[in-house]
Amino acid sequence: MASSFRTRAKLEKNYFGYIFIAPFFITYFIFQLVPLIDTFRFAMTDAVAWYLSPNQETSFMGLKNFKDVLTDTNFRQAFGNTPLMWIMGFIPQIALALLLASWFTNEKIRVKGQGFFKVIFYMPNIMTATTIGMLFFTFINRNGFIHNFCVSIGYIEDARYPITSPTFGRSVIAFINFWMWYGQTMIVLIAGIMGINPSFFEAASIDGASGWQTFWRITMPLVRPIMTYSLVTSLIGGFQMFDVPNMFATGNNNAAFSKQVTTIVMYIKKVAYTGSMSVSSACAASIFLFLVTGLCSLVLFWLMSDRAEAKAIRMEKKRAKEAALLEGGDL
Amino acid sequence: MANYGQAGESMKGGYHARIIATKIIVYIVCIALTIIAILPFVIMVFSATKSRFEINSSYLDWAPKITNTLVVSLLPSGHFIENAKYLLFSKALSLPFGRGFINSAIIAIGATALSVYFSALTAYGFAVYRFKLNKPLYAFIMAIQMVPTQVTVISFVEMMYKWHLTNNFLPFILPAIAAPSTVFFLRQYMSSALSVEMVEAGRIDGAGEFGIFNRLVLPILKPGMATMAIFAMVTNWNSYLIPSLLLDKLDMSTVPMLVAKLSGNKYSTEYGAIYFGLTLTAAPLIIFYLLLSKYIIAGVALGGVKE
Repeated sequence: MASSFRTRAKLEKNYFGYIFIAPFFITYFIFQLVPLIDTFRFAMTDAVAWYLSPNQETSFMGLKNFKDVLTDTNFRQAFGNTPLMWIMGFIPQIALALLLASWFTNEKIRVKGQGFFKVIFYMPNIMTATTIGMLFFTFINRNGFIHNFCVSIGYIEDARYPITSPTFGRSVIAFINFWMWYGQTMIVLIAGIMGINPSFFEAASIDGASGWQTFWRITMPLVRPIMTYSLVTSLIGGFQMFDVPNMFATGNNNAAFSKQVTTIVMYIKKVAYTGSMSVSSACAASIFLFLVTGLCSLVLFWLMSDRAEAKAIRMEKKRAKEAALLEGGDL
Repeated sequence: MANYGQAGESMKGGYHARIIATKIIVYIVCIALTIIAILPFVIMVFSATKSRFEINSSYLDWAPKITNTLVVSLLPSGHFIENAKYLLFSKALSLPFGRGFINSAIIAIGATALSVYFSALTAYGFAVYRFKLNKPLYAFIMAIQMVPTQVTVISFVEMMYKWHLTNNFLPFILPAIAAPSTVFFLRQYMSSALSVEMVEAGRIDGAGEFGIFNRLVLPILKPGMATMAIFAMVTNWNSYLIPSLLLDKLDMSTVPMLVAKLSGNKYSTEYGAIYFGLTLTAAPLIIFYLLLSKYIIAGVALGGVKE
């Protein structure tokens, strides 16, 4: 009798779940899902910016915009620049982060002042990317710190002109990405290594494994899921790169230089809000960005998840935990 | 026996030497990285104290050629106030940084408050109630975390134009109600911080469902919500792309938008003023970071372990 009363009370309360999650889904629908659908819709019309022509009549264009974007040399350029600048920054970023993480978690080295180093290495990440972009742009501009240094070592002959080499510009942008993000990756990897069962390391040390062997045979395989996570989030972020290269391109009066540091998002913004303000072409380019990030994430997940058993065990644990919680939540 | 002891000793000696050598390398690398992390900001602050002329034509005869640039960059001068006047009050160059800070604060605080409160509400809804669509809807939130926001930027901006919400802060504040990664984090946080008995006790005491959430659950979630609030604050404060497309009145500009204006042609030779502007916008964040660094580092570590 009592238990059946409790069951009924439980059922009556559970519709509150929908009330509690409703604001999230309503907001998501209006501000993210509708624009996502609009992106696909606009991409197949000849829409221009509302700013240029409000309440315009648009006509259906099929896949024409996609073809136009793919044959646009500026799009191809941007589509090449973006992953190039990302990978140039990401390789040193993950390598250094791994090295530091393995040092900081090494019981034998016992690095002092770790807290201080973590705080300092992470600091650039918190700063406004626009400020960082402008700062480094001023450094490479005439009379800037990097510019003057390049003059003093003879990299540029005439100090009156800014450096216009695109390789140089891309390298500086890649460096900024590296500099802003290796601290973050390091902290994430340290957390991952600390999460490894210490008995693995003890066993390795009893078996006489060297630091190098322990790192490659135990640490690396076990932090692999976290590395996948860092890789995928960094890749998605890399494809969305905008603030820093934007400062390099707008501050510069050299068209060739600007073109070589243009990213996909910069291209999208430019197509939509300058010249003929073709929002439809910009949306077609946005869809390519959407597809390419999705595809890369899938491939990376697939490539790096060969530890199927480990993953299965983890999933099982997670499921058990969530099931337990749901049971518990069921008052 | 003696031999064995000796061999052990010498092995131990070599082992210690190796550890010490590694330690030296570790500290050299860490100190070098510390310098690399700080140097750009130090140069920025020192350059903000210099006049245009000093930045244009400084060369020291006594410093070796290669290190000359660095030495010059690290010498302070006395034109800080002058640069400040240039950038904040002069007719030709001034930018409304005071307004910018207020605007950025309105957006950052508004968006943070909404995202943290409603994410907690959403996470609680998933954690405590058993309804039919619980699992599929939660899976949906996990999936949309991966959709890059920049993909919908253009359509979002077009929609705001259509609704006449340009030069308005609402487009940056309201969407914060739906923050998938914050929901995910707080849902995880609840599984360790929240006990179901407590919710049940609240019900027995006759509290309503919203009352239980607001008065019993929110105080317990405070540490987790604070972590998310710090990151939401920084992200919204630093946001540039969408504000630059929807705000075109100078008085409504956010701080990153004003920084971007420093790359305009009229500042092309006003290096002192540029460095002052950059220092002005970087300083509050550096202070904010140093005050909260403990929580921020812990938050980064926590956020990264999620899958």
